[in-house]
Amino acid sequence: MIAILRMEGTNNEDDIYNAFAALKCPVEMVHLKQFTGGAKKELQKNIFDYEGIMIPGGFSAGDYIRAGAIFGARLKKISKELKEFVKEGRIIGGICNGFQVLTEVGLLPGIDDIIVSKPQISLAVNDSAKFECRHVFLKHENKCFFTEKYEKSEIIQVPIAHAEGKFITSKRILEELKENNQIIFRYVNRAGNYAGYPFNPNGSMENIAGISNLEGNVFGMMPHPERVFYPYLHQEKKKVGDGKRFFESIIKYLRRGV
Amino acid sequence: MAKVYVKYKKGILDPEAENTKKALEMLGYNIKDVKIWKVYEIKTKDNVEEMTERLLVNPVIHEYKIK
Amino acid sequence: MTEEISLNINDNKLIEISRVLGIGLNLEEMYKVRDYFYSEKRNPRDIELQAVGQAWSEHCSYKSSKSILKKFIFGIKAKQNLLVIEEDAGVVDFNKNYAYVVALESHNHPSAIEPYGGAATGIGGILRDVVCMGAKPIALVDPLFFGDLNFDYKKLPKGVKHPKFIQSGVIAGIRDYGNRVGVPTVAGMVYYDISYLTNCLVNVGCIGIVRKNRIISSKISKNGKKGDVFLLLGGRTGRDGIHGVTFASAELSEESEKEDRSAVQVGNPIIKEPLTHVCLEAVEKNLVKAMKDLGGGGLSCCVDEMAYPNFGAVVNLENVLLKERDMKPWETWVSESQERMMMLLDRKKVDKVTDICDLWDIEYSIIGEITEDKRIKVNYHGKTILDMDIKFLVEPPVYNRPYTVKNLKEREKETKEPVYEKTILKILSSPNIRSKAFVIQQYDHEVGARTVTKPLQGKIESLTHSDSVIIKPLPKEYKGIAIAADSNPSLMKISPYWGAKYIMDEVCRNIVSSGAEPHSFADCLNFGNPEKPERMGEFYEACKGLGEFAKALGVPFVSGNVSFYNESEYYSVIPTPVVLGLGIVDDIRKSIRTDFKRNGDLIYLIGDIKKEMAGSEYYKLYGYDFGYIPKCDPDELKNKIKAILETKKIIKACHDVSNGGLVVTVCEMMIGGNIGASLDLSKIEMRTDYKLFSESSCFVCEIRERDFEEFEEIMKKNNVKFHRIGRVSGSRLKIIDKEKSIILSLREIKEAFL
Repeated sequence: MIAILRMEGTNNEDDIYNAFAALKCPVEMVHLKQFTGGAKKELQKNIFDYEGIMIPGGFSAGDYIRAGAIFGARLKKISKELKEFVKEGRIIGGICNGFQVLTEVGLLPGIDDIIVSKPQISLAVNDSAKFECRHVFLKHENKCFFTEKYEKSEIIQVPIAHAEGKFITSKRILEELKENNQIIFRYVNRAGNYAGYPFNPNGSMENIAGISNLEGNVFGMMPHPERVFYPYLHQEKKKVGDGKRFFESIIKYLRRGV
Repeated sequence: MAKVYVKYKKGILDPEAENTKKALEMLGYNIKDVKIWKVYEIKTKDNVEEMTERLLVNPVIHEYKIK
Repeated sequence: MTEEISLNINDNKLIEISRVLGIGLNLEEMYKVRDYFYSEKRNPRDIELQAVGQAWSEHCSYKSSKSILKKFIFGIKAKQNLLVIEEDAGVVDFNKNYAYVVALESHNHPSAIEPYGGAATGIGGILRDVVCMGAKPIALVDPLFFGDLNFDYKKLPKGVKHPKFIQSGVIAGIRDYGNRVGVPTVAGMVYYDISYLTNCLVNVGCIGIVRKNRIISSKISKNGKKGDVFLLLGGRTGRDGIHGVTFASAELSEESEKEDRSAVQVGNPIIKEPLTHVCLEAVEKNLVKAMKDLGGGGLSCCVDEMAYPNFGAVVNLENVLLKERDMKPWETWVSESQERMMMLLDRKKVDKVTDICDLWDIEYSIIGEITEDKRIKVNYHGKTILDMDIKFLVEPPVYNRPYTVKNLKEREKETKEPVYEKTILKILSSPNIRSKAFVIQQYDHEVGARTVTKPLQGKIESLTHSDSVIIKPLPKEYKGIAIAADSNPSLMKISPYWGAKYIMDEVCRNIVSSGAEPHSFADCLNFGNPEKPERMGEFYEACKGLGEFAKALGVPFVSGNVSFYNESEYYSVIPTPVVLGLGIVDDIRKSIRTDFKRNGDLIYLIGDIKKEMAGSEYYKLYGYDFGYIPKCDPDELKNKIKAILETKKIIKACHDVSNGGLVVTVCEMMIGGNIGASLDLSKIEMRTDYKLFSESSCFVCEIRERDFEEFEEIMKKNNVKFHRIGRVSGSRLKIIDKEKSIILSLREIKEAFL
């Protein structure tokens, strides 16, 4: 069972829910308060009842202070449980605002520790200083449990929609990410080369669009695979939706050993 | 009451500041530089530095001072 | 607390009271109010006069427009109509279990004063109109009209903001609000003209989807019973937005900037988003008897309109949660603070609803209940401060204002042929033609994973405009809704009647180009001061054009809005009716896009291209103010619609001809496909420039060579004129017309347009 985590301002939960449901994977919406406390007693939930948690896109808490900062800070209440959750090999995935939340709460990059107390990555304001909504080309650099079903070096088309998506980190963390093959997706142009704006829509360091932790069971990406689950949602005509395999990979991992 | 001043670190591109500079130049002004600070005025007895580090800034891109 | 006011005074004093209280009533109206209170045998209180001011404002009551709307726009019967015109949004049949909902509104005056807040709260308001029907909002539309972006700052009238400032504020407001609530902004338009300098137009539309057995009315029907309670939920009530409707019912002046700031509301999408969740969950669980959003006139209009005509209401005003201290009761009663919804609930179901509110951290309070008398009573800490007959408030005087109609005088003059390449590039780069990607890409148009045919189409590196956007409302069904919004100020300026008909034709062309069939319309009518006969005449003629065309097509207007008083002492806006058209497509996988697909494919011009150059971009470029305007015929359109839908499966690309003419249409198709076109127009008997730039009702289609016989056969069968005009080929635009040859590279075209 997958939990789709949300709070006020999360607005992409339906799209992710429908993707899992279409693949007949058990999935449920959970409000943040049901994990961290603050909801009525009979609505309280335990994260260990779930095999995985997905954090969708949107504007949690209005992106006030910083995108994902408030959601991340509220999640810190259950840091211990989250650490255990990840240690057990369960999965946590963040898309767009979800990626921002994972960097703010410290579950990514997952290098020095499973969860760190201060953010080591920032998804900052786009270089264009504008909200950018467009389809981009992504190169699948390395596999992780969320992208098993994609070929290495495959180029896919996925839409982005964000005002704060510029990947910034320290030199040290960047080197580690590269060494450990934690960079999962990079923005490229049609030919597969690393290019500037608009192919890199936000100015991310090294065109980084998505990363995972060391083990590959925590993952975040700025683009929205759920928005191209079906071929008819693509900008250009395609036979299969590029986003479908993202969810198929997750389900494949959940069913391992079965 | 404490005032927390937050701004981008040196070396981090601040597109809002860049655009503000450009917009002023378009109105005919001669601008050397623009830096944008965000100021949080917080009335509290609790530890403001701790609050700042826990939520108000991301140390990867921000620096701050508290008055 | 409240003040008692005597109306037993002379005419000048009556006008004075109206002015001082800011209620916008004229002398006749003040007489009627005085007579009413004579019959009640007492003096009115300030809160009661405020209530009348709100209810009788143009914005809330439609007093100047109702009779004309009834004559032309309302009452077009169609089998898909479920709940039309009467409610805040139109409800139309979609499939066996679902209906779609559409609403279109203006937020012009607030946006001229405070562009960001005005536009954002416009979005907030239109979303609420859809949610209060029990529907989930699934798309937003924003038709926008601004003054000339290059207007000289120094010549700007006092108190007026520069169009550049207004444009960036409005776009940012719509963007920040729409993106935050997670509803995709998928369609719209941006148009520039000097007449909008002092009065920008910000129209906003919303489409929603609802299960038929969950449609909620805003009127309390016979299923209401004495004791049912009013639950007010969402944001708290403050002083923002007081007199929003009376402000929208008057011309802007120099003082508007300072005085009217409080009439602009402050929006908060982070309350709206969970508020929407609460409303839809409550509706889903069948807990709600009636629901209405609080917009113009605040609590006052909301409660009155919900209760009328079946019930009365009693309100305990002290229960309203406030966000400001020391508010006078009348302020609370007419405040237009945002993000508030009103539900009518069975007492026994209140707890279930408040539980949902608690989960989403939405505040609420029970502020009153319905009664069986047909009066509205407001109590404040035990004292009755308002006690009036609801009918008096909700049925204000309807006016048949005097109007004059300008006769259309058309004459043609001879002109010289232009330098073609230069002219084409100039038109492509003009503000009203060139790419609106800079706006579209700031709006999240993909959220919801249901935007199939997108606002920008073609190759990722080389996107072009679409004609209409198609969204897929339901996860398990391939049926889709096509959306397009249009107006044509150039033609409206010359003839409100024919301009209106052209707009109808164009909206339908846009819908059909994507492979959908026109299904319903919503209108937003933006005009000047109705007390001036020429403006009223423009309104009359426009409504006549819109209504006649819709009736002839058999496609109904299901919702609409009127915004008058869009003028100042300097400029009056061109009469600007905006039409939002919705179409149905049975299978979204079979929709058509505007970008050229393949080298070697044939290009056809569908329709009758005529020398109808008045109001065209080409004539405007050269300052020609003569010529004939297009006179669209709904019967010809019906044939074209039928023909295109019949040949859908063999049409590879389709784009309608409108602003800029045939050549702009072809250029846009080239850009999207990142490919060239080779045209030969020799067989069309007309001078070259007229063929290229006429904005007659036509389409350009791309057909595979092997399909041309079938295509031409079906066009002929439906009596539709067509010309094969060329082929998709190469990487440049080459136009041959007898001995003439016009060549432009794809690169030059892209540079001008993008």
